[in-house]
Amino acid sequence: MNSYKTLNKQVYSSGQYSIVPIRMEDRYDIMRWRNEQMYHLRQNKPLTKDDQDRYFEEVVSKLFDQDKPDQILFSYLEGEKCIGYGGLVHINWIDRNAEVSFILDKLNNEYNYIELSVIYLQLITNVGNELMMHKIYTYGYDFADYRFEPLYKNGFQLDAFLHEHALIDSNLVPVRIYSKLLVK
Amino acid sequence: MIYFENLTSLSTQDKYKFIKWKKDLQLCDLIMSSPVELTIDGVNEWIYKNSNDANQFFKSVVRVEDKQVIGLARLMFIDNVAKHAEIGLYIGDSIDRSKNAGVNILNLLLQVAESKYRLNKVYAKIHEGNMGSIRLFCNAGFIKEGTLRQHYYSRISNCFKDVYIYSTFLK
Repeated sequence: MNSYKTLNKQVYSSGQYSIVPIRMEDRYDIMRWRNEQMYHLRQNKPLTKDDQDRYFEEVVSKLFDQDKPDQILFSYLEGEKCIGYGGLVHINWIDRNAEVSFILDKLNNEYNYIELSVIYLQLITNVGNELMMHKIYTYGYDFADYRFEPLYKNGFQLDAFLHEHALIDSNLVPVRIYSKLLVK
Repeated sequence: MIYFENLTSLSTQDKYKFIKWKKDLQLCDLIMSSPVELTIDGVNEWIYKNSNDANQFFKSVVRVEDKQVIGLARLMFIDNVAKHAEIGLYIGDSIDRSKNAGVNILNLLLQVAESKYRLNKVYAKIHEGNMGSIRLFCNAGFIKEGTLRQHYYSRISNCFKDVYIYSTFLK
């Protein structure tokens, strides 16, 4: 298993669910999910296997040994099966904040999405605490209200509502920013 | 009045101004930047990197009357799809800050955003203690869209500060 130098604890668990340092073997599932859900990611073209291999080799593999990486990524597991991935990205070590990102397998329905997201957010909050972050935050396009429910359930608050801030299917849609201040 | 000029054409004397400004604690705190001690090579590298960023408009601010470089103006993270960008500007020396220069820089940047980049929206991030910038952007018609709670750690105040997002639409 890969391990992050910057973390003492590598695996964060809740019941049968866990997040572990991102696994090479999950890269093509991740690619597929990203391509299926491009509409709510900051991604403007489908990824190919070559793109994904290159990204894991040139970017991901270098994150593990850094004292202060700008992102740390995890595979989200149910048992041993990867059901999503995400992490803390744009880590600002000076102002001690980081953006939460994650994506789940599209096969999850709305109910599962909320349940699995709530658990994921609990686990990634623990990572933020271990990194001594002061705050974690996340962005979301304002067109799928159920996606915001897990944030409220995890104590995130709406910080900003940016009008006409993203172009989706030729329409300018708002972007919401949510954040959570972490416990010392 | 002011105009914008490429930083690549700065004289060595003007580069030393940026060296001074980039380590000025008070200025860095106002613009939420980490103070850095740069050499001339370091400034050249900073200029090269930013001037070659396709998603950035990055210029020095020059005062017409005496051709003095007084600050920096930029549009950052230019999003050519959603048509927005973040505005950043500063006037390096406090003595130059009370002469309407901020208003002139902002107006010129708004013109660039609209005419050169055809943007729909521009926004600025300003921390709660930077009253001069808050006044500047409010007076220019910018609206507060949100508050990023405790998003910036001020080394001068030794505490976290809220960061406001101010924006305006151009069309």
